[in-house]
Parts: sequence; structure tokens; C-alpha cells
Amino acid sequence: MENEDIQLMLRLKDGDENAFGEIFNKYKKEVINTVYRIIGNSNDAEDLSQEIFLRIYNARKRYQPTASFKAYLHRITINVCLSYLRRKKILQFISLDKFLKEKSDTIPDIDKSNPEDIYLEKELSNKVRKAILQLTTNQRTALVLRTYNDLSYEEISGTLNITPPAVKSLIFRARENLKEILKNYIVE
Amino acid sequence: MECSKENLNAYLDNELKRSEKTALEKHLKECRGCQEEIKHLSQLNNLTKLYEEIEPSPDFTAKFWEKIRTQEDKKKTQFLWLPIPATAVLLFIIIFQLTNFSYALLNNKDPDVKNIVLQQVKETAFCPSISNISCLLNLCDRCIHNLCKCKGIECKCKQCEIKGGHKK
Repeated sequence: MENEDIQLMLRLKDGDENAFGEIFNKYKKEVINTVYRIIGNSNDAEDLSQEIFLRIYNARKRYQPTASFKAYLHRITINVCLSYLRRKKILQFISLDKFLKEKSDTIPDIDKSNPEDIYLEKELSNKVRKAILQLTTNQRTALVLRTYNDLSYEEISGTLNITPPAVKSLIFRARENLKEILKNYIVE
Repeated sequence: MECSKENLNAYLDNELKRSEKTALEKHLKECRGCQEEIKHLSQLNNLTKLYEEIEPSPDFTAKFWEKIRTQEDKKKTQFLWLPIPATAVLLFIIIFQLTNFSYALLNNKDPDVKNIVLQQVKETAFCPSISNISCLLNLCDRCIHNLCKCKGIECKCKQCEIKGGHKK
């Protein structure tokens, strides 16, 4: 699978644009969702995802298959997200107290055929989104890569350029903070 | 073994070494606190999985390729704009040389030299168009070559022989 991606990138390097089309279609959803979970804004997620693919396309001539393609993709994704967050200074404007004051019950079982349950799931998803946005950028990025992209601590360390013990610590602190923020939804 | 929340997280992520995992599983059987913690962490994991996935908009791919096309077009246009700074520099040099030449010609006291040089310049200056860079260059070149005559000095380039020869 990894090798296949690298082969596609090498074909693109040689001028085969169809190869890039395959990469694009294969990873577009994953990239959009990673961006969305890190920046918390679905409107900008698409634009940033396009920027990510554009960067890959523009760097095609310089591509070297030294790391796995996924690691390469994630590194660009994270760089674009972090630069967006710095640009927007989103962290300073996120209200930290509003969500903590909201009261709700613990998670009920969700029946996906029931419209009420679908609505409830949407609500919960929104709460989780807000909770994750309250984490520091590093904690959030590490947690997103672990939880949603299924990256190992080693892979995350390569993407974020930190040591695996630092990743372990970041994910631990991220979950500790999330448990506190979402305590109303966790059954004692 | 001491309780470690950090290790419980790593255990759930399947990131512990085999020996650490065995020791922690043994500890878990005896420690109610850690059992509770694992339960909470699992609940938290389930909760975070509820974070909705979004789908790319239907025109996501089309928009992307449109961006690539726009970018490529822009590159082509940029290429067209490249000669502009070069032309500006060239024009500056030409104007500078012409000014220098005119100044030297005006200050020349010998009417014969003035006439000869002016005749030469007139011949060159009869260009079909001012926008013709080669014509301008030719004019400039002629002016430079005639500069020595206007200044009344001996020509060293030996390329500016004109009717009437050098006048020292």
C-alpha cells in the first residue's frame, strides 16, 4: 500500500498527472477530516486541504521517497494547519468557559435509524468538536493523529518532530483534559 | 507496580512493550482504581469517535484542478512579464548614454565634428519605430562610438571610423 503510494508519487514526478489524480482521490477525505479536526472549521477545511494537495503537486519534482508517503502527507497537513491557526490566532479567540458551563447527561445508546438519535449524535459530535478545540494545538494534533488517523506514537513523533515519549505525554495530557471537559458524559 | 495513568493510555493505544503490557495486565486485575480509569478512557475513546466525519463537497475535485490550471496560467503570464524589468534596465542604459552623448555633442566647439556626428546619428535615428529595441540599440551604439569625437579625444575602439575621420 505504502509502496504503491510512493510509486504513484514517482510517476507524478515523471510527469504523469493521472498518478496524482489517484493520490488525490485516495486521500482527499482523510486529509479534509484531519484538517477539520485540527482547525474545527469545516468551511476552511476544504480550502486548506486543497492547499495541501497543491503543495504536494508543486513539490512533485523535488519528491524523494525517503519516508513513507503517509508521513509526508501528514507532515504537510500539520504544517498547513498550524500555519492557518497561527494566521487566524484562533486559539486566543476560543471561549474556554462557555462549553464547561453546559450541562448534559451521559451518552445514551444511539439508534441511527431514529431521527432524534441522529440529532443527538450530531449534538454529541459538536460537543466533542468543541472539547477537542479547547486542547492546546500540540495536544489536539497528537490526539487527532492517534484517534482518527490511527498513527502510532512513533509515526506521530516523526510527523511532529518530537520524541515518542513526548507524544505519549501529549496524548495522555490531551485525554486528561478531555475527560475533565467531557466529564458530564462519562459514567462514574 | 505503581499506578500510571500515562501507561494506561499507552496500553489502550497498544503502545506498551510486551513486558510492560504483561505487568500492567497483572496490575489491572488487582487495582480497582486502574480498572475504573481504563473504563473511563474507553468511554472517552467511544465519545471521541462520535466526532462526525465530513465528506468532500461534490465540486472539491473540480475546484482543485481549476486551481492547478489557474496556477499554471499564472506561471505563463509571469513568464511574459519577465522581460519587462530587463527592458527597463536596457532603456535606462540607452537613455543614460544618449543624454551623455547629447551633453558631449552640445559642448563640442568644433562645427565640423558636430555636423559629421549629427549626420551619423540622423542616419541611424531614421528607424521605423521607436519600439524597435534593435534600432534603439543601434542608435545608442552609434552615439557611444561617436562620443570620443564629441569629446575631442582619440578613438580607442577603432570601430567608429566615420566620414571625415577623427579630428583630434
